[in-house]
Amino acid sequence: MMETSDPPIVKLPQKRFYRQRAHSNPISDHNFNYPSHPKELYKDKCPDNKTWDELYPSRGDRKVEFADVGCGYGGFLVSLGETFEDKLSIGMEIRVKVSDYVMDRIESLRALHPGKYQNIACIRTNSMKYLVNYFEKGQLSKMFFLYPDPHFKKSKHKWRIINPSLLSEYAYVLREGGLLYVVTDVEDLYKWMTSHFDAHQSFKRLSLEEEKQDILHDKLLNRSEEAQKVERNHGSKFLAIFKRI
Amino acid sequence: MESFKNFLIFSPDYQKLIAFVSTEDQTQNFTIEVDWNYPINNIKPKLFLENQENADNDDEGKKQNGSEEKISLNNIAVTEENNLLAYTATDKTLFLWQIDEKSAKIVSRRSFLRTSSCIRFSKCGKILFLTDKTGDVFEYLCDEENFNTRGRWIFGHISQILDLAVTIDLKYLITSDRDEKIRVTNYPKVHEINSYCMGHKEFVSAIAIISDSHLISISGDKCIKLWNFIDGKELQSHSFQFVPVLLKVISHSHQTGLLCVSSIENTVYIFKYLIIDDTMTLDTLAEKQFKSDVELAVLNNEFYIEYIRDNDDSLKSGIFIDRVKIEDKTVNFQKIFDNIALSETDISIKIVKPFDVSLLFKHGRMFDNVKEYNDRKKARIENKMKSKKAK
Repeated sequence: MMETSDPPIVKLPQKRFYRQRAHSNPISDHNFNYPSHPKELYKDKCPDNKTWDELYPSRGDRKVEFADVGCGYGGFLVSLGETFEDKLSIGMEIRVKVSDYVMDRIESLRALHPGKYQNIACIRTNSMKYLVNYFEKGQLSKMFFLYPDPHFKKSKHKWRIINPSLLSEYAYVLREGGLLYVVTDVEDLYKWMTSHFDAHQSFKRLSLEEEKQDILHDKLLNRSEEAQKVERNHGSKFLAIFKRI
Repeated sequence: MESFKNFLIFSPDYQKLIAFVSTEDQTQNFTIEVDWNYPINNIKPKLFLENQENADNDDEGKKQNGSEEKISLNNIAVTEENNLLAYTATDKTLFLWQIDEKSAKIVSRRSFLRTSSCIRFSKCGKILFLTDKTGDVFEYLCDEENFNTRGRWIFGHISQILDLAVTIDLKYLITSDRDEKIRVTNYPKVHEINSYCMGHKEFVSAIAIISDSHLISISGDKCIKLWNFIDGKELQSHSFQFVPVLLKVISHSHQTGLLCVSSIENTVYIFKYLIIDDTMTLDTLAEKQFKSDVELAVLNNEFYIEYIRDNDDSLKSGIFIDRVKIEDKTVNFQKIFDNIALSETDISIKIVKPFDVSLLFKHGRMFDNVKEYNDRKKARIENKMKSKKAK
């Protein structure tokens, strides 16, 4: 029998259907599915979770090495995948609609460019609580924290994604020599975050020269949706890169 | 309830502690009156490099508003040498007592930041670790020169910490939390996480170190697990028919010993365990149902169970303690302590229990915001298809 209907036209998802307010309470008990142990995602099936093979159809025996924590609408994640074609990058986002947008975006990109964008994926999770449910000790070589929620109120500082408790956890999932990237447009938050890195013995900041030479330097400042928004508003951007020692 | 080398200490009401001496002679029992007027040393630990002056002022206002609330005890700990007793109170102060054969006196009362969930001394008795319900861990020095030193924040979970264990050599601090995790932190390099013991599917209510590398944990997922905590490896998992809440261990050797586990329905179980080649076998020796909340302690290689007797007409309700006598395979629950210390005014009898675990369950009772969103999205796409077709 002949196929009568037209082939479906693949379109990138429209952001207007996925808008969500920028803040999320990372302490509250939202509904999340997450593996009870990182090894669960290497199995053929993992109830309520996509396995790594389901997320990356051509994974082979590679493991995720780059994590964009709080990836937003995924602009930087896409750029990261294009820059490092042989590395697997994961975007982690807590907001339901925003993470769904990134998943739909990747699906469309894969359909529009067969064989490409196989190395990026997005999961909805609370990275502040469940990072070690996904990654083993020393698994990651790069972590990105781009334009994190500043949580201005002092009582909410604990909710900041860069805080002394979590730095130890990031040091645990990052391998020695791995890099952690931070970008923000809020100067006070920048000072707060760098002061905590300075106080933490597992991280050392790269020199300004080294930071400028990083292949991602310009992309970090320009490629995410947040970065473009700051650009439009003529705001300043602050970048810092730390090495796991 | 907490055990000294020679006596148990517990709180039958909000005002005093009773020490129970481990002989049949109850006249040797004594009470420690808690002096709620002891001056508070308001040196709170610093959190997140913040300006301490502001942090102190923040709390000042709150305290004045809620001053009517009655203070009670939260957690008790004693050193192995029996020279120090510590407890935390609901007014967020840490009392430290110095104890010798003839006397006991308060030596400090230091403020801390948030409601405590667990306190433990190191084996040497010179350091006390305090965990709180917002997930932070603090270190308090407890040698003579440091009785009044400010506590130091050492690390934190983004979750409620439920239990803490310290290895005998003080190389590791092990903490369990509501998010199914057990974290093994290096000490004194507390910024380094040695390993995580992952695998539980509900809150991890209690942990116990049983050898240089073995750890036992119990969880709201009904499982008891055996771990190699050095490399974070799950060695074994055994599923109970009940939700375990409290755990006490008497080790006889690196391989053998006894476990005392209480359930959410207040049944107390005694097991004999044997570990061979990283495999644990459990042999049930006894079980007994109690009608009230229970607390467990270990004294002179025996388990003690604290409970509240029912109200009935002839007898006033009060705190009881049963001793679990274990000889080979026979187990006897002997009532050894009557409510002698209770007077007419002791109306508010309460067992000092660290937490109510029924509030900790997470799975299957969360608001499902994902499903709601997916339903709406599906409807949106279907509508679009329909309107296209109509055109």
